Amino acid sequence: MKEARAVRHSNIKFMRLFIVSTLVISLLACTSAPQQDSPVSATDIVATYITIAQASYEDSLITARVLDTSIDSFLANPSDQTLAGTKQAWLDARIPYQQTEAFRFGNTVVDEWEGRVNAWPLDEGLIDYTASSYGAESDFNYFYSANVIANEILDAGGVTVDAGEISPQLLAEDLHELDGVEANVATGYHAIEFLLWGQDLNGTNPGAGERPWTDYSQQNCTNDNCDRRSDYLKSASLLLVNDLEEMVQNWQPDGEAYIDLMNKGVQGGLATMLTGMGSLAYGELAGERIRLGMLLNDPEEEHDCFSDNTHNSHYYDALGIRNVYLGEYRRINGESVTGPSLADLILQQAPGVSAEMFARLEETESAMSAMVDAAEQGKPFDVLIGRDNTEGEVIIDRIVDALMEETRTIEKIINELDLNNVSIEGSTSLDDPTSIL
Amino acid sequence: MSALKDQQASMILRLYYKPFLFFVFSALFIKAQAQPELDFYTGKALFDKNWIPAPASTTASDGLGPYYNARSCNQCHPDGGRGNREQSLVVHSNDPVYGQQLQKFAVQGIPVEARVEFSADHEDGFHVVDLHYGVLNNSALSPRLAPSLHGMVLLELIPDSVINDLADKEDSDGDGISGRVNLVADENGNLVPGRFGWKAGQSSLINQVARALSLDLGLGNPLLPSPYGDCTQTQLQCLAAPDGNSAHHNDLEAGETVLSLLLSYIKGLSAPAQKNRKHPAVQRGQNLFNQMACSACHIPEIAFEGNVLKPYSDLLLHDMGPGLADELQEGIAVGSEWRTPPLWGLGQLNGEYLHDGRAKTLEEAIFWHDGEAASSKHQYEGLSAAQRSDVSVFLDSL
Repeated sequence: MKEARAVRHSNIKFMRLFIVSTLVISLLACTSAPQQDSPVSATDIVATYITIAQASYEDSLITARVLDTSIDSFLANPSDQTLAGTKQAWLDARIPYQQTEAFRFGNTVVDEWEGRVNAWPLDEGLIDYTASSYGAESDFNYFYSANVIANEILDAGGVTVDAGEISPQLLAEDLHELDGVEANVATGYHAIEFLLWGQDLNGTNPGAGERPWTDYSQQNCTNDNCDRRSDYLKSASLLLVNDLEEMVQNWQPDGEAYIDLMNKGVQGGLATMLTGMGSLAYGELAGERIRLGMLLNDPEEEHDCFSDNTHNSHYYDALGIRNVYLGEYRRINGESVTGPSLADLILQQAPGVSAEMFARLEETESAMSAMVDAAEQGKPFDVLIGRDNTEGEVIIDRIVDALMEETRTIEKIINELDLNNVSIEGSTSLDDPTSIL
Repeated sequence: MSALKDQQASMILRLYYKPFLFFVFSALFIKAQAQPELDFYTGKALFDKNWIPAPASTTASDGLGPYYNARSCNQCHPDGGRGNREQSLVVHSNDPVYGQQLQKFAVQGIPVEARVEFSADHEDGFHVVDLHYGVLNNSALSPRLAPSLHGMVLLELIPDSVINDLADKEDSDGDGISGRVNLVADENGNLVPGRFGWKAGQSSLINQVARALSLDLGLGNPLLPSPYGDCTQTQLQCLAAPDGNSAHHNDLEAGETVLSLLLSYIKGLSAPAQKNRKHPAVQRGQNLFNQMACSACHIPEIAFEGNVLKPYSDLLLHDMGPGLADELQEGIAVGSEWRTPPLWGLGQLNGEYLHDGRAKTLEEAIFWHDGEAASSKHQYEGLSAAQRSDVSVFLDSL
């Protein structure tokens, strides 16, 4: 099966700015601050950000529609080949979507919506059959628990759900409201992933989920309820397309995300951009998605746990941060969306910090690439976080460190642009433990 | 703008970081380089994690339930803050069949214990219906909101002796206030002063977190290892349900690393600071607060070893009269006794005051005060409208 390949982006713009910033610094020693053209306008920077958001979500929608079509083909004619094709479509769909994660943590509309499309972990047992136990020696007898696919009437969360007909509405409304959780643990990219790959029962050994295509065969059905399973897959896919259509609409000039951002003013817009970059880099990516899995030594503590595609998801997350900073996004059709950016502004305003930021982005990209390389050599993320995998730990630590350093520089940029009312204390420094007051 | 404030709140460092404390606690368990700040965010990831029922291939995330009140800590303590009635109100009990709580949810295939209907205006309080395991056995029932976790790290640092010194259970100074220390078992079984929880039923944060993991999420952990949480002997289906124990997590559902990281997060939630301290209305309100002797229990400052905290609480039990009583005993606390809740952070609330959120306004909350607080309440009743407004402004500044 063809793996999704992480395309390494050496943005032309990146290299140009990097070289310029280096030159600028060396020139500073013997001249006064160089005269740039007119200063980059914050309004333009925010405009570029919006354009990139529009393009990124559009690409996500386009690829989700391709995935949906592929699912139709698969369900009409299930086979190893058609399943492989659908899996590839899913992998392709992750590439633009992961880059949109940089728009989280600052745009409320995105944050409130995100749990519908990318929630993790998934409540596997709510959706379909699961293995009854996990461990090195157990036989995997499948546990036909009270899951939606197998049961037309479901008692879950103290409520009786009529799941006679599996539809997008059942998934989005009835299942979603079961226990008041915002994130829908039964829909989105990972629900589709689970339905296509099945559980990854390989632990920290190589190998992804191996669900048979016959789970969808009406004539030679394995694991029962192939018709309902097909309905679930199709429903989840339709929902994803709908949800992405909604987000594309939100970033149009009359859309909620667009209007909210405009209402914040330019300073608010810049703050939103940087908050998204920093929060995604540090708390979400470095902390939750990468370090936690390693600390717990748990093979499936990884986002794309069924498909073992996590390395790509992380890579494209990091790329999304880069896109926002550089004001450049490469679309799935190869076109480049670009405009005035934070990078331009910081280059003018604080060349030292600018050079530092370029260096950080480079290091993050290299560190991520090393992880992608390892995956392409048969050691995906869940192998790297294995208990005694010291080589894996080195690769992961490097990424975590790179993201931490990148975040520190983002903080400097925030400081530089004076975006906070509260000045940043030396709390970043471990050398300066604050008193308890 | 509040959206921007939220963004900043979720942004790195600054207000939420206390490196010294992390270093002590995280170093104990985390085998990788102790990185306190990153531990805070990794802990936050666990705090926000939506746990799922076992069995599941995501073995670090399963084990929810069989009985639970929420899928994540964050659901009831949003961003570590106080929960609202809709999401976080849980009925505590002491029933031999139903256990210590009437949990709201059950995993697929397990019957829910009961349904609790709350009356919106608290006139009737609440009704328990659809009891699955038969009638309650004279159990006391006490709905409780999830309190804010901000500043709890500081409360834990107060030496036992300081709390003991604040107590005056015989009211020897004759001021009508007889605060007493709740004595509870610590993790080694010794009797020590309690300080966390609505009746000061837990002596330490680790105890409180372990209890919440077990009762509210049904997650077995190093201090309370049973994967069945609050299930009792009668609840056979619960006890027969699959568990989420994993060998590589100390044979638990939430192992040592998880517990340690959660504590790293909680201990990084700094105490709310007073705003507009010098505003004239705030100062007038504070003076009234002191004059009415609210400050006798809601002590503005606790000092020890050169440190000064401002929790507006003595962490002691006080008899608050029959109106607020719930008949549920905890430690040596009886039904009408409640721990003085810290008032820091009060300004962030907007209604739903008191242990079950019954009071819609600060004034309502004050009017519920009785028992040892009766005299202070009467004094409040004697205030003019302008004075009451000042008190309100002061309380909102906390």
